[in-house]
Amino acid sequence: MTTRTTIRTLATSLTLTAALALTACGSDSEAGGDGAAADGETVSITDAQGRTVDVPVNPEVVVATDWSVIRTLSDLGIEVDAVPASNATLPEDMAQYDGGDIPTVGTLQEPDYEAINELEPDLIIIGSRSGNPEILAEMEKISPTVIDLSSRFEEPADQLPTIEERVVQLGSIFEKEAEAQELMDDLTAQVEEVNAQAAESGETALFVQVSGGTASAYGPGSRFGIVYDAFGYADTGAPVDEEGSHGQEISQEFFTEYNPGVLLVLDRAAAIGSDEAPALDVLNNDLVNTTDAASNDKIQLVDGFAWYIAGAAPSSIQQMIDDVKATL
Amino acid sequence: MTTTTRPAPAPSRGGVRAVHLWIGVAVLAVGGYLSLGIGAATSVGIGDLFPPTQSEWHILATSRIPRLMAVLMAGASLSVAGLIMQRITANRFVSPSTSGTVEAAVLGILIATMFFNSTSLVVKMLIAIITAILGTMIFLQMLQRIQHREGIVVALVGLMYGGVLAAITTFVAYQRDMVQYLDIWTTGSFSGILEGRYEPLYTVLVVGVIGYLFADRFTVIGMGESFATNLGLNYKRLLYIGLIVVSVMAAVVVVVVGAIPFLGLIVPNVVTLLMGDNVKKVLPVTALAGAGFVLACDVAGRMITYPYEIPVATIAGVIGGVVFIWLILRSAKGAAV
Repeated sequence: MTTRTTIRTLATSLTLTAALALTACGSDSEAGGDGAAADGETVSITDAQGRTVDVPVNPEVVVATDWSVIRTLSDLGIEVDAVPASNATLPEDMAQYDGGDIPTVGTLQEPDYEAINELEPDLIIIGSRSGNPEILAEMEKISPTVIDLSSRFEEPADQLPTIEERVVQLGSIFEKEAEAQELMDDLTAQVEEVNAQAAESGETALFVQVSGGTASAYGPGSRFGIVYDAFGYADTGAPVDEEGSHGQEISQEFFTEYNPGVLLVLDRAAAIGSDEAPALDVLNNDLVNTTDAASNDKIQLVDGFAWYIAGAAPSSIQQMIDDVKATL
Repeated sequence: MTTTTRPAPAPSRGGVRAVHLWIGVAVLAVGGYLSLGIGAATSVGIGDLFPPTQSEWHILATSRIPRLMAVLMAGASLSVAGLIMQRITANRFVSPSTSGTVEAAVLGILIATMFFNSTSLVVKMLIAIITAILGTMIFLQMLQRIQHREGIVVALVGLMYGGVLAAITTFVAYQRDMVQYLDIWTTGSFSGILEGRYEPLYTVLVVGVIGYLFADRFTVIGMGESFATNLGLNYKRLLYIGLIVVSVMAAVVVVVVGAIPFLGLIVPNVVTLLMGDNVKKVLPVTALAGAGFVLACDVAGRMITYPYEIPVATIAGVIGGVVFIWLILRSAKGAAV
């Protein structure tokens, strides 16, 4: 309990500091109520491509092409004006984007530039699959202000801090920096709590993605390395590819050899909106059923949207925490 | 003394003798044995197979033996399908993957997944077989309208036609957000093969027997419609039998394993280069060679990134591509094709 209290105290003080900082920034120019974009007030954002951009505060028309960004804004109570078409069913907290009231502008990989152009956006936020220099260059022809808020990280330990930086940056654009910081501090505290429990459990975990009958394993350093690094599960000791960012195809024998105590399963088909061959059916076989994970009843299907599509948003991290907690 | 009574085999073509079959079977048996000893579960190694303990047997029966059987049947059937196809079209560059058959089967799987929402292999297989037959039939119809029916032209037409089918499939899948599945269906892999998940593949054995029974007649219809009709054969009927045999084999493999590129093209070509053109004689050798080729690819795929896997389609694609280019260059130089 003492450590937790310390973290809370720390979190609170951080929040206060951030709030003060924001107030300090804001006081330079008079805050001008709703639609402050007209005031010419800006915040300086250093984006994922290393550019420093002056972004208008509270921009009126905002287009985002990445679900992490959109969900983060949704967590902060901000609705964007156009989103990519969604393959999957969106989570409940983002139901407003599911009905078709808000225009869709292309897909995650392929933004519909003409449709975006018609909206005359004040701010375009790209990221993740659309976060690359080519798309950025196209977008800059459309809007004066374009930023890439992908949460890319080199070391596994940088993952949460990078996400935190992005979430707080998004908050600062809409004068919700303190709120954003508070969300992240709460999540960080929860992650540390889960980390301690997972490490104490002594279980090894394996993260697998199942897609159409084929399973792929993800180790430390992979895109789902958060399981080991932040959430504190030990890995199964399977050799890890140096590159590591993509999963590697495995046979079902792999499960008997590395015998995970916890199995976190991402159903890629479900994540991309298909209901073919449910992942757990693929893993329900004589080999997987001999593992500790099966006998401990710790084969956990994780939320595809949070883990696979919008991994860098507060609600998604909360969902990840809940998924991992379910295995403790 | 008696050698003069026996016609000497043509030196360039070799010919098939029983000894070739037995060598093939022996090589395959050794390869199969080694394959049973390789897998992510190190508790079962090459030394543990005679006799296996109960836990070792569990791994063998659930994973290794089904995988070996699937590898052998997929390799043999796609190669035989290629051989039959090359004979009935009298063209060495025609195979299930250069005639739209595989692409049509993939379209069938997509249709099955979209409309029947079923995970049943059998439903998918039936629909894939139907579309594969229709797709191949359209190809044969096109073939009869082509002026230059020899050499690489036919293969190019087939590849383009396959490309059109694949484009339709991709478009439909794109509309339904199922593009990611196409990858799985078009990339053959044995990593998901377990007891209970490959048995429909045994269909190819039945179809293979039919193919063997009609082998001689396939040789004859390859010589042309008028030639076959003059010999009293029903050309159309035989053509359809061949088409059905080929389509069933290709579709079943695509449904259970996924597509394996070049296999149906290169294996029959290399075998006939060495052994001659008589379908009935080279069919068993082709089956063995195809099984052996896929077995080698699968074992390599399991060992290169051990304990992870590289899909068999990737390995076969690399090797097959090289052999395909060699075959084309060879034919460009004017060698008999």
